[in-house]
Parts: sequence; structure tokens; C-alpha cells
Amino acid sequence: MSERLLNFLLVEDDEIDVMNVQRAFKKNNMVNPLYTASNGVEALSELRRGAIPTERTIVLLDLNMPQMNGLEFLREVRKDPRLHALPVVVLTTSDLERDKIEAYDMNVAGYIVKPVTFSAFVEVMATLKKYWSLVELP
Amino acid sequence: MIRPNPTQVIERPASDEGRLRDELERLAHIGSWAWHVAANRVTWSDELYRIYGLEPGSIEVTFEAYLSRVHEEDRPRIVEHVQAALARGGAFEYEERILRPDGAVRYLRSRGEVVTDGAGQPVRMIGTCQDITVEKAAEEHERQLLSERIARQEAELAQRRLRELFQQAPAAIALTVGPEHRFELANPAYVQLSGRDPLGKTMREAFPEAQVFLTLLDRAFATGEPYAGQEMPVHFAADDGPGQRWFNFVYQPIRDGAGRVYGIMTHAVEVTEQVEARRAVERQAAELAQLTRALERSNTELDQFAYVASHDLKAPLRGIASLSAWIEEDLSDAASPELRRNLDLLRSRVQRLESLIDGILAYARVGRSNGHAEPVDLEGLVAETIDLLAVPADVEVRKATALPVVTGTRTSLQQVFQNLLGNALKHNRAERRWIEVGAREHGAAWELWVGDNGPGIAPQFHERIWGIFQTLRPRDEVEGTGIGLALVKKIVEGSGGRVWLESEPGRGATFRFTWPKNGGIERFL
Repeated sequence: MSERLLNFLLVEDDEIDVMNVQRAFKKNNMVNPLYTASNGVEALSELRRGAIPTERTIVLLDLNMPQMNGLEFLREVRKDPRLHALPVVVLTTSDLERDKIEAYDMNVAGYIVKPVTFSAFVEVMATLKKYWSLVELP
Repeated sequence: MIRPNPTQVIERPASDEGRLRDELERLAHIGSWAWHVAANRVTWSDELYRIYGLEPGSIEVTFEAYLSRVHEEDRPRIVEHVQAALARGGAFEYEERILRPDGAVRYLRSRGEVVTDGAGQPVRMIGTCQDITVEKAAEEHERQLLSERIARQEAELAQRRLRELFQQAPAAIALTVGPEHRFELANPAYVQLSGRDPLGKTMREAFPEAQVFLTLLDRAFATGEPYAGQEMPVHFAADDGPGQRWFNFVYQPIRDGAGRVYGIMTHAVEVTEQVEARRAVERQAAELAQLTRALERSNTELDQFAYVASHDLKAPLRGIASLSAWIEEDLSDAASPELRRNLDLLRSRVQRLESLIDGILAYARVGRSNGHAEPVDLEGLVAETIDLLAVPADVEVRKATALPVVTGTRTSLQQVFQNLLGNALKHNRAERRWIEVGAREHGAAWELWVGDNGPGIAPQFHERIWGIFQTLRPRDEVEGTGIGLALVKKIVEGSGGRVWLESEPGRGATFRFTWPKNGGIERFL
């Protein structure tokens, strides 16, 4: 098993949700680098200027955000020749059918509705980590 | 049969008395004759010869000679009369037409008498012939005058009828003549409808404001083609009535004997009331459609609002839940039991608030699900639901009847049974718990029920339980959001059915609802 760690980029505007992910990482003893951006604009510019690695990075994307929401961010990413192959997992509170369809139209790797309780959230993160460590990435 | 002897002797009166008689006969246009039957010898007076257009004494007269001068059509009748007179005796009278040698027809009235011998045998016949041609002609003239008068009266009557028809017709009728359309006739309905008497005037003079109609009249006159106008709006200049009036009318070109158009008949019926009534209906329909659209819009907005509200309400809720968990975690051993209990309570309230929000969302979504109406086998659906609810082993599930296949949205029907069966389980504290499910036909609908032997519900609550967020017991005792029955009611009523409850405290409860057989079309806007 190649021990090059996966990077995670969390695009999330809610401070508590960011803490949620951070604490879940800690609880699961995940040492993977976790980058955060509070909206799509910030995430895009960080990715483009190389502050966040674009290889072996899984994007955890919230949908409802100010300035540039998740779907708009996704559209920009898929148009960008350097970023278009980024694996993106939507992590949102929205279970609107419309959002799901639109997200999958833009080739998301998954769509997860945020569980309410922290313990459930910890589970979700553990499963995500386990899954992505199985996946071969270029 | 009379078989007269052809040998005849003509008696000629020669005395003064004879001459006097002759004069008198001439004055009276009466001739006389005598017929010796046995000898078949007939004598005619001079006047009789003259009546026949003959020189007196110029022919020998026999019965046959007489008969040959009678009009052909009258001969059989004359023969009959004479035979009858000979057989019967006495007097007789008839009229006949005779032909003069120049072809002139004369009308005669013949009177005669049979003279018999002692044995009653006819010996002679005598009689007179009066020339009544002049009287006949006068009579004929009279008859002709009479029939002419009758014909004239009939014609007048027919004309009067026609005029009455024209005057009293429940439609405006007018006749205009010539290329200028001069009004020759206009019935009272026309005058009343148009509000003026156009007689003698041209169309342009009578209706200077009606340019459109003038054009149409011109065209009908020129082409000979009738024009029919449907619901034409007409504005009369000097009109006190409704501002706008509508007419159905026909311009019918009228042709003379040679086929040339000489005028146009106008036939018009006012249809203002009908048009206005229809417009009112159309207006109402448009308003209704607009209302429907507004309602659809507001429902969509409500749906979106419910979604957004519940989404946005849940976000901070999740934050509170997470924070409370972290606080407890971070305090670890330092947390007192009381603090832990309070944090537990905090989280349970968060849970409840979340359930309530989910409830609102579910309620708002009823009828908007993506499901479509399909045949649903309730046997299978109820079995699945019982599985899903994880009914404890000690609860007896009774099937009172077989369950039908109904038409409806699968998810909606599942929600109905899930809530009713769930309630039956949740509140039941009986020693031997049972749930009963059944169905029966109820006219055009199925009546379905879910019964239990739980605590039952007092009648004063039977209405209230269907309201949203209504619970009968403290939430700490039985976890419930009070949305379930509201959801059931909304689904069932949306499908054209109804819900009701039969229950007494301590006697269990039976929730019943109907579901139309024709598919339970979900009638949500």
C-alpha cells in the first residue's frame, strides 16, 4: 500500500461544519492534510496558484455558500484544464433532487447528506477515508 | 225509346191571334212548340225559329232535328228528361244549350207539359223555350265578378298577413333599393333596434356613422353575394342603451325577374345579451385560470419556503448538536452528572426540533412526490410496512379481510399505513396487543381501516387529532411530532377520500379512510 497520504480540501462556509470535519479527522486518527476554503472563489484561487496541491486531493464540497456556491465552483473546476479531473464529493445538507442531478451531471464522485449527530459524522468521515485509500489515483 | 216518324207537317199560325202571339213571343224571347208524339210531328213558333237562328218555317222539325241542334254535352240529359216526362206525364223544365247555324251558342230554358189521352197514354207534348242567353251571360259576368272579388280579397289577406309578418317579425328586417341603398321598407323591430326611422333615406343619410356596413352593403350589391355577419359590434351615434351592442345579420341581395340585383334585404338579430353573457363567462373562466395560476404559484412558493426554512433551520441545529457533543467530550472527566444530563436533554430537544422540521417538510411535500398513480396491492404494501415498523413479536396483526389492489401513489399509500400502523403500535399498552387491518367496498370507493386495542381516544379529541402538530400526550412520554395524522388526512383528502375515527377511551381505536376506486387521482394544484 502506497503510503503517500491523500489530501483533503474542504470547501465549507460554516465554521462549526469545518470544526466538525476537523474533529472527525482527529477522532478517526486521520493525519491527512486538510485544507479549507470558505467558498468557491477562495478554493479556486488557492488551487490555481498552487497553495493547495491539485494531485491526490479529494474535494469535500458544500453546496450552499456565499459568493460562489458549490455547483458554480464545480462548473469552473470542470472547465479548467488543470483541475477538471479533481475528484469531488458533495457534502451538504441539501437533499434536493435537483441538486443531486446537477451535481452528478458534473461528474461528482459522491453525494453525501451531512448527518445530524456528530457520532454519525465521524462514521461518515471514517468510511470516506477508508474508501479513498482503496481508490487508485493518477 | 222515341222513334219519331220522319214525316212532318209544319203548322203555321195565320190568324190575328197567331200574329199577336208571335209579337208577344218575340218581345219575351220565348218560342213555343208542340210535339205530336205518335206522329213525331213538331211545330215551332216563328220566334222559336228565330231563337234557333233560322228563318221561320225554313226547316221541318222533328225531335231528332231538335236534338241535333242541342249542344252535344247536353243531349243525354235532354233525352233523359223527355223520356221521364213521357213516362210520368205532367210538367217538366230544363235548361239546355243550342247551337245556331253560325256556331253561336244560346242558352234556353224549356218548359213543357205532357198531354195524355183518356187511357193515360201521352198524345202530345207542348212547351216553351225562353232564350236566356243574356241572363246567363249576366249571371256568368256576376259570377266572374264575385270570384274576382274573392281572389282580390284573398290576395289582400295574403298581403296583409305578409305585412303583419314583416311588421311583427322578431327580427329587424329592412329592404334597401339601388346602389345608394335607399330604404324602401323597415319593420318596427328595425326602427327600434337602430333607434331611427330610415324610410326613404339612403344608407349614408340614415347611418352616417356606419361606414363599415355601407362598405358591406356596397359589396353585396355589386357581387350579388349574401353577407352574414356574426356578432358584429355596432355603435349607434344617438344611442341611450348599452354603449356597445352586437348583432347577427345577413345582407341578402334581392333580384328582379331578369336576375339583376335591385336591392338588399337586411335581416338582423341583436345578440348583445348572449355576447355579454358569454363574455362574462369567459371573463370568469379567465379569472379562475388566473386564480389557479396564482394558487399554483403560491403553493410552489410555499413548498420552496418549507424546504428552505427547514434546511436553514436545520443547519444551526446541527451546529448546536455538534457543539454540545464536543463540550461534553472536551470536559471529559470534569463534567458533573448533572451537566451530562443537561447536555443529553439539550440534544434530545435538538432531535425533537429536527423531527418537527422533517415533519413540516414531509407535510409540505404531500402530493408533490415524484411518484405516479399506479395499481398498488395493499396486501403487499401492508406486509412491507409491518416489516418496516419492526412490529414486536407479541403484537398480533389481524387481517379482518383480504386487502384490495387500489390505484394511487405507492409512497403516499405507504405513508398512510405507516402512520396508522405506527400509531396503533406506539400508544398501545394493552397486555395482549393486536392490530387489525381490513377493507370493504363503499360505493365508488374502498373503505380501509386500521384498528387496535390501545387506550382509545375520547370523542372530544376526534377532530383535533387530525391537525398539524397535535399530540394528546406529553412529548416526553411518547415521542411524536404530531404530524403523522395530519399527513394521513392530507394524503387521503387529496385523493378525494375522507378520514375519520371510531374510538372510545378504553375501547381501542379504529381509524378509517376511503380511497376512490377510480384511481385516487391526487388533486393537488
